[in-house]
Amino acid sequence: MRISTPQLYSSALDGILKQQQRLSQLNQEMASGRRILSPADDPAGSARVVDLTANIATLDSYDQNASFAVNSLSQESDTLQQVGDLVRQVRTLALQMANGTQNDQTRSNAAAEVGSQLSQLLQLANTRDGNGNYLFAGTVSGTQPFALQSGTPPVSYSGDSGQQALQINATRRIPVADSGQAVFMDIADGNGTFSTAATSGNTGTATIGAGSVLDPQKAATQFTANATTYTITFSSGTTGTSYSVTSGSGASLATVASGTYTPGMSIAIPEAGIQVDFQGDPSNGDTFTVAPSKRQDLFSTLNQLQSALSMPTTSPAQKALFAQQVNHVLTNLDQAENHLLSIQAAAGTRLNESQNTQNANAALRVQFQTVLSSVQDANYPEVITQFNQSQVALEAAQKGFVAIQGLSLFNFLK
Amino acid sequence: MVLRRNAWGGNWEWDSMSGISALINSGLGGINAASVALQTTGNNISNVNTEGYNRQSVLQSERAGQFTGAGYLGTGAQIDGIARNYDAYLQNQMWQAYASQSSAGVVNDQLQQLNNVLADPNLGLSSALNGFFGAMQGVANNPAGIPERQALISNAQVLSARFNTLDDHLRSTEQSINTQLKDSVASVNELTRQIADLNQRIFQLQGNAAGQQPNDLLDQRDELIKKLNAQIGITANQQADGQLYLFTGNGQTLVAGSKSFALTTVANAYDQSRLEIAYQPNGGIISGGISGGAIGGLLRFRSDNLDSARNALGRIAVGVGAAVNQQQALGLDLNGALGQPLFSTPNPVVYGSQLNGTPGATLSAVVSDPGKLSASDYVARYDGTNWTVTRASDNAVVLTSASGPLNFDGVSVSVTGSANAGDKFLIEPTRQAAGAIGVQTTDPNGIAAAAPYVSNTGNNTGQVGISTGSVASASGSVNLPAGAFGQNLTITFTSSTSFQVSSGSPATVLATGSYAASGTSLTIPYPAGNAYWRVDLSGAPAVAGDSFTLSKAGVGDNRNILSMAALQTDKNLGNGTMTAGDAYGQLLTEVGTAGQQANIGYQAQSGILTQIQQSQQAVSGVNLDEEAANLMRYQQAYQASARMIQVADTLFQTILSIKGA
Repeated sequence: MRISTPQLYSSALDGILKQQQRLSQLNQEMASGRRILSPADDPAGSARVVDLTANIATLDSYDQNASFAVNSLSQESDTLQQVGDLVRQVRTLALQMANGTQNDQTRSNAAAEVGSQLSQLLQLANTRDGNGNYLFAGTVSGTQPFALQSGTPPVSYSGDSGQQALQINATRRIPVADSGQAVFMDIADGNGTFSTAATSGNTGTATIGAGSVLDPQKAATQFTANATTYTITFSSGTTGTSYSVTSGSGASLATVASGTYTPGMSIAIPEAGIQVDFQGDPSNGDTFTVAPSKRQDLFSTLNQLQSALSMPTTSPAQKALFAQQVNHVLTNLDQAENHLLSIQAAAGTRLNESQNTQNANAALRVQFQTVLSSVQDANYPEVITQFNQSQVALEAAQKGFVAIQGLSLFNFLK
Repeated sequence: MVLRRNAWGGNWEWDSMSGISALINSGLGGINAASVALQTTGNNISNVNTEGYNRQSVLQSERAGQFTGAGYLGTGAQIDGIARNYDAYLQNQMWQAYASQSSAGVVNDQLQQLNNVLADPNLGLSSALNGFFGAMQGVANNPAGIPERQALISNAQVLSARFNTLDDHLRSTEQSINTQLKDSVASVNELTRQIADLNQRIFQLQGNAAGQQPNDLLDQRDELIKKLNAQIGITANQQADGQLYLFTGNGQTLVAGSKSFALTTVANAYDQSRLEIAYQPNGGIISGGISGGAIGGLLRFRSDNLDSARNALGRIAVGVGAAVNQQQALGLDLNGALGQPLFSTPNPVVYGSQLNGTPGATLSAVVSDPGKLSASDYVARYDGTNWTVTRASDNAVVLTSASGPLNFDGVSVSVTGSANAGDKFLIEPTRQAAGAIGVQTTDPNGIAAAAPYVSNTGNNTGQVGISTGSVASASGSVNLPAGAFGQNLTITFTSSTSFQVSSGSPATVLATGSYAASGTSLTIPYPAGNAYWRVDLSGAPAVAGDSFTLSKAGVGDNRNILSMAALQTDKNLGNGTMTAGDAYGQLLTEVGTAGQQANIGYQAQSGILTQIQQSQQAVSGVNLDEEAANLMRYQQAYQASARMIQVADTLFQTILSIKGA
């Protein structure tokens, strides 16, 4: 085949230009450390890079959220710990005061102490987080949730039941707070199923205990479903003291149990599957009530203790009433302590979960990062080898060009 | 010396004198031939680097012999003509290869630019998307925090600016295509005019020169046709008289003998800002049939790559914008009001054809479901009774309807006025969206981070629980009247199986319902749109007097912003197949693959062109070594012929000396 002279030059030049282009591309890869300089270099890889980068960015968000969750939950846990300690202090004090050796003076001092514990509790309930938001306000986090008020309950709650949650991985939204309603307000009184009380006009020395549930199913039917309140009435006659348990009033008044009373006995209400224990001697006509458990806030419980400690205790009946009140408060404090412990346990579990998720996220991030790197990063040994090859090829092409341009018949025509 | 009969027709005898002159003549012929050949060789050498030059060679033949008694005596050589070393088949192939290579080169250049724009980390969309959704998580962590909210607004602005910038690049590419088309058409017209002119001159000169070809003009014409092919793919038809006829791919005549016909650019029948190629003699638009050359490449890139890239980008903008706005509308901002749209997203663009009758119909479109949008354009055609909507990407008929609104693929088009039969409209659902998206809410308080209601349980004895609530698309078993939304609501059980919903003080009963322990749902309709806030009551027993309240959520609520942040991983585009990030990945893959293919196509076309050029050069190219050899060859022939004359002269002198002695 004939080769034309311009063609000889242009094809030699083409070779040089191609090698230079390749060298420039490889040089760019080395300088940027990237294998993919434009989507056209690897279309599928480019989409993968977008996907992986988004995944990593999301994981970074989750990681930040999880740290935030850990902070919030730690703070909640710490605060709940302090509240629990406070409740235990109050309980110890109440136990001391229940002892008959106390006098008016010590009780009055104790009342003052409970008063200061109440304000400490209020302070804890109004704890704020690092951003100045109230920890126990539900979603109304910008407004102080608990405030003293006159009347019952002694402290008002202006928050709601909302619970802030954070996304700590693709599927888990973890609650990072509990509302004040759940922590301080929604505490069952009595023993959790029912609560007992002495009627204020009682003249005897009998006191009623917290009682216990023998048959949870029956108890649930009577107290939860039917909301039955039982009245236990004592009557003293010639044959001694007897009791009768009635439910309802007016036309629906029904006697569900009755018998002879001896101090220290437990009166059973078979219909509700419960029994309540009595101490002391009731007077004729003294009544006690067994009512479905209601919710009582922690502040009210403390307030009740404070007012009980200011009660006169001169007559035996007054002493009995005082003992009855302190008993009641102790029962409620036990409930509160359990309640706080369970909330704290749940918060602790979530704290743990957040930390574990953080670790899992970090592991996943490393994985994504590894894949991303394998997709988009230049393989230096490979690129450098290719660069050297291209360099050799370019030099060869240049030498060839020089050799070709020196070859001409005209050189020999003298 | 010639052997001839004597004057009186006697015996054969030698005619020494005429023999000598024949020798001189023959030598002269040789000198002539050699000098023409030398001149041609010189021309070849001079034109070694002339584009489009075809090597010339001398056609040389024997002169007719002279009859003598001894037979026919040769009378030397003569020049018949100067021929181009030319292969019409190869030339035609080369023109076609030029057209293909030029078109592939333009497509490749444009796609590499497009790729570079999308690959640029400072321009790419993914970092902006990640930043935007990341900022939402920041707000979720501290919903009442103004700095976090401000960061979200700023990130939204970055995202919308990124959309705008990307679209701006694509739009300016479209504008530059307009300019390039104009330039190309101008050079096509200039080239065809010159070719027609050359046709005329070649025709004339060929006639004057008794069939000898004007090689230089033929070379020039071939070179002009090559240049024409670099602009637009044409087919050439050689006529017997030496003139060439040139046609476009659709068969429009560009050059017929000495006449040329111009192309022109006209506005698209729908989108006036877009130029199309038209055939000037009849004004018909011929963009669709052009292939090859820069014009073919530009048109192909515009319809195959640029439009779809803009549409795809616009679809992401509409998808993200609409989804975020929709979620905004479901939550409460920091002032306790329902969220206003965060982004302003434009409506689809509808163009009526310039050929539509008057007065016609006016069509206006809105996006009804961003999730169903495709990245295609649509043509709506009215035939007098029915509207037919065709999707441009696959020519599928997506809707046939007698009247508006025309609902298809997430778009709703309303029709006002009465259309004429044959009227056509072009609907571009997402083309302009990426360029027009903006941030509408710039007040940090305006971010709707909170859900509307918080469910609270009263001091109840029953075991009925209430759900925290969620957004539902259908009403529940008890649906509150419109207008209830936004008020604090109280749900009170009036018996174990019935409840009422009231608001205000004194309480106004808004609704009553019966309760089933398996679960009862209560919905509060949002003021706008078919959405409901739904809470579920479940559990037993229910006790009369038990109550629940639904209170307006406070500033610490982050449920709505969590749902908004979840949009990042929601497959809310392409009929539930893609997240916004996926859609961007798909765009990158499409553009990247097209770029890869264009590059391969360009390399392949360049390879083909090089091969054909080699073949053509093998026939027509000048090789200097060859010419050097020829120089020597013809020089020697010249010298030998001159020697012949010298010999004849010596002979003559010899004869003269005999006579004179």
